[in-house]
Amino acid sequence: MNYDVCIIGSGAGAGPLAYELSHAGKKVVILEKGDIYSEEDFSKDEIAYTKRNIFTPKLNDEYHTIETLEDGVWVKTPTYENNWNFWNGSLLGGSSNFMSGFFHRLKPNDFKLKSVYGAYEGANMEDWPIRYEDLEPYYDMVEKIVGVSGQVSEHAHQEPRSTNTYPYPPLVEHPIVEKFDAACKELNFTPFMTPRAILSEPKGNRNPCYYSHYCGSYACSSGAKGSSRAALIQPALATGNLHIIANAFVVKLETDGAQKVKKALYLTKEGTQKQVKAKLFILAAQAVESSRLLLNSKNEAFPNGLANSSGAVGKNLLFSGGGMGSGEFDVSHFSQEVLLQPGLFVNRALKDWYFTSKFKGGLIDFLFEHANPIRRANALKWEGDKLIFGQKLQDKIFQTFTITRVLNFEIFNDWMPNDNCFVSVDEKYKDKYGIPVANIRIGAHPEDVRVGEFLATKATQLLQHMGAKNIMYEISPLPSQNLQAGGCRFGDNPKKHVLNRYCQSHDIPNLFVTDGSFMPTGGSVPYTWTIYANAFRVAEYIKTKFDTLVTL
Amino acid sequence: MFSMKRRTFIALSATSPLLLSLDTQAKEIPKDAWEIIANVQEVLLPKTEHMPSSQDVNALFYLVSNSSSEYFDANDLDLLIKGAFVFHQKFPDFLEKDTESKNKILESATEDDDLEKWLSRLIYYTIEAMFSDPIYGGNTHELGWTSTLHTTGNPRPMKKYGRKI
Repeated sequence: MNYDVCIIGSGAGAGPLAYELSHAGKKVVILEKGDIYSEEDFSKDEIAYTKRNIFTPKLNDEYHTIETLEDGVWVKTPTYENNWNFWNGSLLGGSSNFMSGFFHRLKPNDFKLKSVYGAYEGANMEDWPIRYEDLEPYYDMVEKIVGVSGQVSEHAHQEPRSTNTYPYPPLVEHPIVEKFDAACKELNFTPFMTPRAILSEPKGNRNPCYYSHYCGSYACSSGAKGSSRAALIQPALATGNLHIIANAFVVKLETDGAQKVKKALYLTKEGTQKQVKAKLFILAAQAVESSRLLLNSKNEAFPNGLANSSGAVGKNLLFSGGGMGSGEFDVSHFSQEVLLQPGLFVNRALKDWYFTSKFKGGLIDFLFEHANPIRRANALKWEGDKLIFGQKLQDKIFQTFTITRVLNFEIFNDWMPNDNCFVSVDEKYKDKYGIPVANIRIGAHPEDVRVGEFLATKATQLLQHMGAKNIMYEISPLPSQNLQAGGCRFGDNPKKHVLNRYCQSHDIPNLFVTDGSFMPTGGSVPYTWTIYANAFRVAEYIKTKFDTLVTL
Repeated sequence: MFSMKRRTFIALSATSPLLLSLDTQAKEIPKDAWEIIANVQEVLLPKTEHMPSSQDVNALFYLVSNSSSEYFDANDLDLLIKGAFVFHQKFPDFLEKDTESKNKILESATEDDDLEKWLSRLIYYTIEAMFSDPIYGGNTHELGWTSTLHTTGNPRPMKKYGRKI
């Protein structure tokens, strides 16, 4: 069958396209590397979801190589050696199944960071080719279609909104937020109520949150979490216009000379090569893998990789700057029953320093430490460099679990795009199928750490005023692997940019990239909401121009 | 010297009470290694006033049965078995010692980087046995959870390793 549209991947960058185009009557096929799961398959199994590579490939079979700077030399390490897993969810819906759903919009100045703050030495800053106003209607669309719960907080950097409320009321909060809000008042900070991509009320076939106590890193059993799978792909399937081919690892896009992509070649789990033909192709495999596929798809017409006449594919890869910290609360703060009350959310953040007069700041999200008892207990076995065991360890586990609770904070600040953060491939390192793996060089700009440290002092100040104990934090130049963007910048200059402002390849008119790859700068928030919104924006463009796009 | 790449394949013969309930898939691992591991686990996480012991949560069975899973880290399994033999070579009379002496031996073992790494992984897998869902064979009667007032998430797994229903 020759489909109208072939989408590679099924996460946040893919779902809106599948949803919109299938509803518009297009025949759409998704090629998903992983398997298809439904709510009934999911559970709160710490082993399966956090301790084994169940929903990601085995690293001995499929891996990445990571380049880090050690003593002034870039050292390349395969991830099967360091266990740093850059796969984030190989299943229908991708990593959006496992997100925590902290949903923050970018702000107008995030779209023009270079104009506002000027150039940073050593950073490849660049304004976006679109403005916040261009994306706002699609942020709003995500609130309604994917489902965002919360309450609009007034604060100094509040972005313009087309509505004054979220479509779903806030989730139920733990009493610790009273301490948070009181401490903010004392410090003259502004408590911000974090919107969540988690339904507080039913929506169609999706049930609301049931406060399972195990949320981030776990797939949702009620459909409350706004994963691409639950919120977009399931409704798209109901149109009858969407077909999903699971366990399909796309290894190459083939072109018709220098004109168009004609087919996607994929491998089944058994390694058998198959192909799908379509009129239009949308790549949304998450930033690292999308660049890898384009680079691995080189041919005579595109000797440096597909859509890469600019040489920019893989360049200016983004993660999120920052780090995390924590403070401890115990039975001196709350009764044991209240302290340990499971399931309820914190949903508070600080955005007072999202922008400062002199530099771009960022966001601080607060949340309870994840419930995972294996991880929590295992973390207690070290006292400094000393391994403890026996009665001492058992007592420590008992005390920690029964009379304390940890409030974490996560800092998000802009990852400065730079020449030493990119994706490449080489012929030396290949996966079990013989396909060159993605090499990820991770070079952080000093500003990332400096801003992270600045925000950490604010967060720890708040925790101190809340009366927290054992306050600590760690800001690192090494990123969290699940926050990926960049690598295929969008912009108006075909010599510099991989994609145009509609995320369409400058080189190949029937090829779009709609995961986070398009971002020139990432802002200081988790990327998912912006990826969703942008994908809806691109879907609108494709719907409107489809006939032209496929006949160019 | 014991070599992980040339593991001896001694079938478990249920000569030790500790090994009676072991999964048959564990036949590839020398029984001596498991016996050492079980004894060390009991010192690492002993029964206390509030907490169950490694034996209470079936930690050895958990480790043996799950180490044969395709998802178990092969390097960890190598480390656990090789470490047991290195430990045995260094402290050959450990099994005969009383509890206090065993604690002292493990304290001195932590001074050796390799054995400390081995003990650290062993603590980890004993903790897995204590706090994972009982479907994996540990956490007997949910003792790990109930002893620590831990509320687990629902739904609980109906199948191991995220297999589809």
